[in-house]
Amino acid sequence: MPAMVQPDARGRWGRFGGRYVPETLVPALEELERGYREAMADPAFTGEYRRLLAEYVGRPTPLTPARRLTARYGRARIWLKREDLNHTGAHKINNALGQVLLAERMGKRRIIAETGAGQHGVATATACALRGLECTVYMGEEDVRRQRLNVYRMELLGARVVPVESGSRTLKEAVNEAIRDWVTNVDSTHYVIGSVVGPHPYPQMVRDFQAVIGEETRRQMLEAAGKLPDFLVACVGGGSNAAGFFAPFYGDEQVRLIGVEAGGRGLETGEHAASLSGGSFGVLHGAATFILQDEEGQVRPAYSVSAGLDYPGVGPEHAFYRETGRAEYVAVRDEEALAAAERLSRLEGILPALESAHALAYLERLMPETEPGQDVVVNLSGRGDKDVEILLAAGLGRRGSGEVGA
Amino acid sequence: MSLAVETSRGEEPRGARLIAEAIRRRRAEGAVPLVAYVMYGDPDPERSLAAAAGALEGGAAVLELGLPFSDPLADGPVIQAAGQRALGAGTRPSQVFEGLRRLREARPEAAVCLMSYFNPVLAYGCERWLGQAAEAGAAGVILPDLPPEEAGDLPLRARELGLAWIPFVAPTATEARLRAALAVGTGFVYGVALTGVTGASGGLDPRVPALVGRVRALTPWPVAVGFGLSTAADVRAAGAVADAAVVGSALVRLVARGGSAAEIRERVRRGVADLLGAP
Repeated sequence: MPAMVQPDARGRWGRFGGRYVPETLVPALEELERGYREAMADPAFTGEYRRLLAEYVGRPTPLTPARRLTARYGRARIWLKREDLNHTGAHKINNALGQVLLAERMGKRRIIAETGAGQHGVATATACALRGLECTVYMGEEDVRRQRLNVYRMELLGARVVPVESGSRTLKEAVNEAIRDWVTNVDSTHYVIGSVVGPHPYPQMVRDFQAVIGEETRRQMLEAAGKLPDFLVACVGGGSNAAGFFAPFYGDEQVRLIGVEAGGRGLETGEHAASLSGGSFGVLHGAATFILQDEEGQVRPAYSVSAGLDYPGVGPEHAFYRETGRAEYVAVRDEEALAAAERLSRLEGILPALESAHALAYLERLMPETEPGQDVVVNLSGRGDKDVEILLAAGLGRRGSGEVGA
Repeated sequence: MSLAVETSRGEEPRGARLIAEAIRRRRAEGAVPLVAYVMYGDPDPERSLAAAAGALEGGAAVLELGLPFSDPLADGPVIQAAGQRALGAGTRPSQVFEGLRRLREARPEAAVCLMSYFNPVLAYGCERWLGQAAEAGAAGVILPDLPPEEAGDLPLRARELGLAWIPFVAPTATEARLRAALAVGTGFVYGVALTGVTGASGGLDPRVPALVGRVRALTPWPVAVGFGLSTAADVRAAGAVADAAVVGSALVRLVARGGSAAEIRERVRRGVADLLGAP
C-alpha cells in the first residue's frame, strides 16, 4: 500500500493539527486514539469494515472515462472516480461506517454527528440503522431549510435531527453543538465527525477511512492506463474526500494534487468558504489550521451555494500540503460550479453534487494547460439529486443549449 | 479548607498569591469563596463593567472576566447568547484591557482573571496578549481550550509576568492528565463539577469529591468547582467539597435582564450576595 504522511504523536502535521479542546474531552480523545489504533491492528475489525464496504456500500466504485468531457477540451484524458455511486450517494459513508463500527467496538451505543449538506448525516444515520445504534444529528437551521429532503431521509432512517439556531445556523454551529453534546455525554457517546477536521485523532482517522478512494484510484488507473494519473482534482470544504483521494499519492511526486475550494461570490467579496485561498492561521474546532476570521480572531461565517463546502476551516493535513507545496489549492465561484453541474449532466449523463461540481468547474482552467496523453482524475464525491431544487432556482437546464430541447 | 493554601510561596506569581489570598480570606470569614463570571461587553462594555463591580461589591472573592468569542465550545446557551450580544454590540475583545485598567483603578485589591478562548489570543499575539493582561492588572488568565500539551511555554511566560495560569481538571481526568495540568497551574485549580457545558444543571458529578482529593494531593493551590452551579444551595454544596465555587450563567442571566448600568450593578451585587447567603 502506498505510504501516506502521518502526523506526529501529538497529531500534528508541521504546525497544523493538535488538540485544542476543553479538558473534559481530552481523556475521551485519548481513549478514541487508543481504540482506533487497536481496531486498525485487528484483522477482525478491518476485515469486517472491508466486507461491508464491498457488500453494503458497493465498493470498489468505478473509475469512469469521461469521453465527451475529454473531447470538449481535446487535451488530457479525464476520468471520474465515482464516489456518487456509493450507497447513500457520496463518499461520506466510507468514514461514517468505519467510525460507527469503531464506536460499537468501543462499547458506545449512542452516536452523534454534525451535517452540512446532509450527506454525512444521512451516511451516519444509515450506518447506525445497519448496526442498531441510537443516532442524533445536529444541523444548522439554514441547512435544514436548504436540504429538507435529506432531513427527512435521516428521520426515515431512525435518526433524530436537531436544528441548531445559534450563530450562522450552518455547519460551523452544528459542529459546536455536537461537541457540546459530546462534552456532556462523553461516557456513553461517540461523535462521528464527518470531515478531516477537529482535534486529533479525527483528521487522521477520517483520512484513513477515506483513503480507500485514493487506493482504488491508484490501482484502477494503473490497470486502465498502465501509469499513474498526472493530475488529481477534488473539492475541499473540510476536505475529507480530497484527503482520502490525495493521501495515497503523497509519495508520487509527479502526480499534481489540486484542491478546489468554494469561492462563493468571489474571494474579493469576502463571501466565500475558501479557508486556504482566502483565510489565515488560527484554531477552530480543536485544530490549528487555516480559517476564516477577522483581525480579532472571531471566526467569520463561510458562504457557498454548496452546503457541504460552507465551512470556515479546513483539515490540518491540507494546510500542511499547502504550506509544503505538495498540493495546490484554488477557488471557483458559485456560478462556475453551477455551470459545471449542468455541463456534466449534459455531456456525461451524470448529475454531480454541487460540492463535486466545484472540482469539475476547475477543469475549464486546468485543461488548456494539459497535454494529450496525460490523465486527469476528478473525484466525483457525490451525486446531485439533493441539489436539484437549487439548480432549478438558479434557472439551470432551462436555457436552450442546442443539445436538449427546452 | 486545604491547609496547603496557607503555605508560603514567595516564588509564586504575584497574581496567583492575590487570588489564593482572596480565597483564603473569604474562607476565614466563614463564607464560601465565590469566583464570579461576567462576560465583558455584554450588553456593552460600560454595563459589563458595572456588572463586574456589582459582583465584587456583592462579595465575590475572584472576578472571572470572560471575553466574547464566535465559537464558545465549552459554554452553554446562556453564555453563548451573552457573547453574541457583546459581539453584536460591536465589542472588540481587545478593548477589555482598557476596561480592566479602569476596574482595577477603582479597586486595586480586586483579583481579576481574564478568560478567553484561544483563537482571539492567537490572533492578538500570545505574548502580547499576556503582556497587556498583566499591564492592565489581571491576576490570572483562563484559557479553556488550551490544554497543557498545546500551551507550550505560555504558562512560563505568564509566570514571568506575575500572572496566575488557571488549570482545568475534569472528573474524567487520568492521573497523568492531572499531573500535566497541575504542573503548570497557579492561583487556583478550576475543577469541572460535571461533564458538560457551562450553565447545565444536574448538580455535582459524584466523582467531584474524589477529584478534589486527588488535586489536593498534588498541589497547594485552592480548588474551585464550577459548571452548573446556580443557587445558594449549589454554592454551599460546592463549598463543602472544594475550596471555592464558580458561578457564571446564573449571573449572566441577571445581566441579560437589561436596564441601566446602575440597575445591572445593583442586581448583580444582590445576586452574588444571595448566592453567598448574605443579606
